[in-house]
Order: sequence, then structure tokens, then C-alpha cells
Amino acid sequence: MEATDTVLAPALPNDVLEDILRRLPARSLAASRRICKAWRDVVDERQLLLRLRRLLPHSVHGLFVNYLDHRRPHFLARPAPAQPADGGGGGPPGNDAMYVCNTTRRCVRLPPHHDYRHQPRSVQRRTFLVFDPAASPAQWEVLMAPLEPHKEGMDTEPEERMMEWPPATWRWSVLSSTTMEWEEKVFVREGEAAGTVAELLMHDLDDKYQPRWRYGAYCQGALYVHCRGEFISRLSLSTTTYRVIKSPIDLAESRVDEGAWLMSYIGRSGNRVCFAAVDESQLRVWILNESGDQTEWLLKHRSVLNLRYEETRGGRPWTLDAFNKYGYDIETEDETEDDEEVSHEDTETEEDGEVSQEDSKTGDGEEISLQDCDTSETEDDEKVSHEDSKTEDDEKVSEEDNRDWNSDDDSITDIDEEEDNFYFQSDVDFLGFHPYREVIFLGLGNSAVAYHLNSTKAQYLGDLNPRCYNRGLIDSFVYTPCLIGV
Amino acid sequence: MASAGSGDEKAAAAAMITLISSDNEKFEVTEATATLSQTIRHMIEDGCTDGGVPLPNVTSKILARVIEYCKKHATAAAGEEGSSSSFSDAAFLEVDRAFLEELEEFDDAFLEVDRATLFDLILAANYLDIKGLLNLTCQKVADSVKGKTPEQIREMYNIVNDLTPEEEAEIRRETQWAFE
Repeated sequence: MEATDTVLAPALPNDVLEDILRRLPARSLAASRRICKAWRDVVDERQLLLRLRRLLPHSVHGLFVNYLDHRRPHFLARPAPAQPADGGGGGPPGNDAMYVCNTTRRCVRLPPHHDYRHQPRSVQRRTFLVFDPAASPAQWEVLMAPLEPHKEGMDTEPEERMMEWPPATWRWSVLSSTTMEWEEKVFVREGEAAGTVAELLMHDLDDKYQPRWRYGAYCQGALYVHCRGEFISRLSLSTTTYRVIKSPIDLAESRVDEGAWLMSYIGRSGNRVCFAAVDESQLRVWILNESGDQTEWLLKHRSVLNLRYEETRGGRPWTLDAFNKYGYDIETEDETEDDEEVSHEDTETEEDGEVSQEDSKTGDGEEISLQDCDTSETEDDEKVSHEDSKTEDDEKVSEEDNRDWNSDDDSITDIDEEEDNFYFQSDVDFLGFHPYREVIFLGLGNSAVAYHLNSTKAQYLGDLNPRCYNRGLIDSFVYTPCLIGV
Repeated sequence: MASAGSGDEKAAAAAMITLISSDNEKFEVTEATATLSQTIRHMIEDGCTDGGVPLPNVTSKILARVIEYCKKHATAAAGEEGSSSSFSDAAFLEVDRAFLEELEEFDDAFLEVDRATLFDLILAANYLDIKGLLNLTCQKVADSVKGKTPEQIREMYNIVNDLTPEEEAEIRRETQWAFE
């Protein structure tokens, strides 16, 4: 130990080096990874960056909303000093491309899937993002679902109608961020199928919009995908197996065949998979309990949906970004964010356009939306604005959380009855679950509200109307930025 | 406090420990001083300190500094204990504050060493398991690194960059936000 002008720091035991490095603020800690292998390894192996909670998604900064006919997502957020620069970036307005935009303010264009250009637009495939910044900050995967039986797109040969669905071996396409190539992955079913193709088609109410089929949730290493016919497929990525979980709602009971209105949504809040449904103006929320061998939905909330809200006084509402529908801005980086969001772009043009996009959230919140859009974000440290929008004919959901609202809007006030912001049930849309609070973001007509489950009060967030032609909102994702990740 | 302190010294005088540096220099210290080191405390508890405690990882130069630190902090600890019963609260707080200030000044001065010595102190504090000293020295290094570029840090501590250009590019990509 005499020492010492030589290489000193690397000679420190890892425990000591960790002791030193963990005292550093985020930026210095990140810089210290570039010093040498020993320092980088300590930061990575001891997960020092992940301990900085503020780097992980923990607050809601806005909602990405996709509209039909719009090539890129829109971003609904509290007006921030720094607005996304207009997407002058050029870029093919075109489409058929998907982009993933993660929380680090970067947006990645995905390579085209081999099938992608050959599919009729009406049967574009759904995609989901699998990303957990806390577990593997630099890696993510995009899963693309195989086509589902479809009234218009599928032959209905009798034998085909009698087939089980989903099939015993279910072939998905998976894109990993490490290879950036699509690969086929076969998921083997454990347990029973949801039913037959014929049954699925029978429950296929309105192909265009139901269910919110781009929605899914990534939780504890499994992707939960909301499927047509009201069931959930739980795909285990480590074992490439899947099983069918019955939805907590019963389609027959809800008389959807007779025209009753029903909307359901799957998402994640905290570390739980949550399911929400609105029918007959009743809002119900379940959480999935998977302890032990049991898999059951626990009803957590039931109320008559209070469709009245008050526009906040004294606070600025969230605003939808001003991009036009062709705005483009990829590869713009973003700053720090916690959640990641992926936005895939694919364009949808045409009717029926269901673009398959999906996103799933992972624990800390990530979202994917496929569509062609880009995200642009600018932010100062914690204000990120990503956008991805999707369209749907419904509304959008907006999320927020009071905690993050600063003073702008946290006062929840009831609305006085008389007011007119009353919407028909069919104007209700699910925008997302708050990542950790008892709040669900809903779209009521053109208004995004944060609906507090405990108080059943709705808090107005902003206007969802993009002010230009669209055929409705397709889907939305809660944006919870983080600094972790690529 | 005076009586308590002297009593303490008497008790300690009965139990002196001999520490032997890597270059074979012997240091006589009180048990109270020595036991700031958890490593030595355990040796004492195990009764294996007769004939001195060899510390093959610590030079006499560094050991002398470590002992200086331990003496000061052992005194401080004894002073705190002794003073609590014999002073009114207000007086106690006053003394306490003065003590802490003095200790802080001591620590600041103690850290006025070159970087090589600082690292040796860290290694010694780690080996001897002296929490306060380890905390103090690690914080000093962390403070010196804060806000610096990787190049500056490497130069400061003579660290050889053994990352390949590809690895460095990867790191930049992963934490781009930190370099903007």
C-alpha cells in the first residue's frame, strides 16, 4: 500500500467502490460508468443507478393518445415550458413502420416485419412492448400477436370454426432490442383454450373497436394480453408458455348481444394486473390475484360511474400537442423519462384500420403504441413529453396523479350537478391506470379526466380533441418517464 | 466530564493494545481507541490480542493517521457519555455542540491529505472496519468526483481507461441523458 501514484481507484474493493459511488448524484454516477471497467461493473452489478428512485417511472407526465387516421400519437400533458419541437424531421410520412420510443427520450424505428406489408390493413397485427426499466434498463422486446380469427378476414370453413382458440401452440413474432430482428416464438398453451373459433367470432361484437385490443400489461415477467372474446392470455416470456385467464366479466350476462354497451380494459397499476369494465354506467375494477395456484379476479371497486367533472379552476388544463397528423420527429431524443413508451408507428389508413399496435406496460410504466408516429419530446429533466397517439373511436384516457400535479390541479371538486358535462356511456373510454394510485384515467367525450376510485370523483385534465380530422381515439398510454434505459 | 474522562482513562490504561504495522512498527493504544475498529474489537472479544495485533495490510504511516483519528473520536465518544449526567440540558447541548464543531474541524483537517494517502486511508478503514473513517473518506472521494467528466476523474486518480471504444459508445448510448 505504498503507494501511490499508480492505478488507485480500481484497486478499491468493490464494496468500497460501491460505497463511494452510491453517494453520487445521478449524472455523476452515470459518468462514472465511463471511467473504467471496474467502475462500470460496480455500477451495473450493484444496480446503483436503479436505486435512484427518481430515475424510475414514478409519476405521470401525460398521456399518449392515438387517433384513427393520424399517423402519429398525440401527447396530452400539462403545458410545459419546453414544448416538443415541431417535427420537422422529415421522415417518411409513410408508414408501415413501427417505432419504439422508450423512456430515455429516444425513439427507435423497428425493422419491418416480414408479414407487415402483406397484410390487409384491416388485419394488422397487434404489438406489445415488454420493458421493465427496473429489471433490464437497456433491453426491451416487442411482441407481435398472430392474427386472430376475424369475421371479415378469415375463412370460416366448418373445421376451422371448430378449432380451439387460442391454439395449443401459438406462434408470435418477437423483436428483441439486442438483435433488432424479428424472430418467431412459439408459446405453448398450458390449460384450456378460451373456446373455439366459432365462439370467438360470435363474441366479436364490433370488429373495429372491441375490445381495446391493443392493450396489455407486462408484469412480473409475463405479458397479459386482452383478447377478443373477453379473455386474457398470460404469456410467460421465460418459459414461452401461455395460459388463458377468463375475463372477470361475463359477456352473456352483460347482454352485449342485445346491444348493451360494455367496455373493458386491462392495464397495470403498481405490481398488479388490473381490469376495468364499464357497462350500464357501472364501473368495476378488479385486480388479478395469482398467489399460489390460484388465479382469480378480486373485485376492488364498483360504483356508478360519475360522469360529471369539474373543469379545474385556477389550474391550466393539460393540452394536446399541436402536431399535425403528419408531424414527424423521430430520433429526437428525449430526455429523461421514467417510463418508457414505445410508439410504434404504423399507419393506418383506411377503414377498419386497426392498426396493430399495442403496448404493454411494464412495471414502471412503459408504453408502446404502434402507429406511425413519432415521438418527440423535449423535456427538461422531468418533463417529458412523448407522444404517441392512437386513435380510437372512443375517447381517450388521461392520467394524472395528483401528486404530480403540482399545484396546478389538484383540487378535486365536484361538479355541480346542473352542468352539462354529462356524457353517454358510450362516450366513455379507458385511457389507463395510474401507475400507483387509485386513479383511472378516462375519456368522457372529448375530455380526459382522472377518476378517483376512492371518492368516485372525476377531475378534469384536458381536452382530447385534436382539432383536426380523425375518426376517433384508438388507444392511449400513460407516460411515466424515467432516466433509465436506452 | 473531567472525572468521567479520567476514570475512563484509568480503565483504559489497564487495557492497552499493541498494533503492529506492515513495516513492523508498534503502536500502543487504549482499548477504547482500538475498539473503534470492529475488526480489532472482535479480536479483543476473542482474546487474541496478546502479543500485539499484526496489521499486514496497513503501513506505519497510515496506521499512525488511523490511530490519530480513532483517538480523537474515542475521546469524543467518552466525553459525550461522561457529560450527559453532570450537566443541565442547556449546558449539555452547548458542550455537545462545541464538541461536534471541534470534531468536524478535526475531520476536515484530517482529510487534507494527498489522494494516494486518502485511498490508503480508505483501504485501512475498510480493512479495520472503522465506520466513521470509511464514511468520511468515501464521502471525500465522492465529493471530488462529483461534477467531473470521466477524463478529469481518470486523471485525478490515475485510472487507466480499459474500456474499448465500443463499450464506451455503448455506455454513452445507455445513459445519454447524463452527457447532454
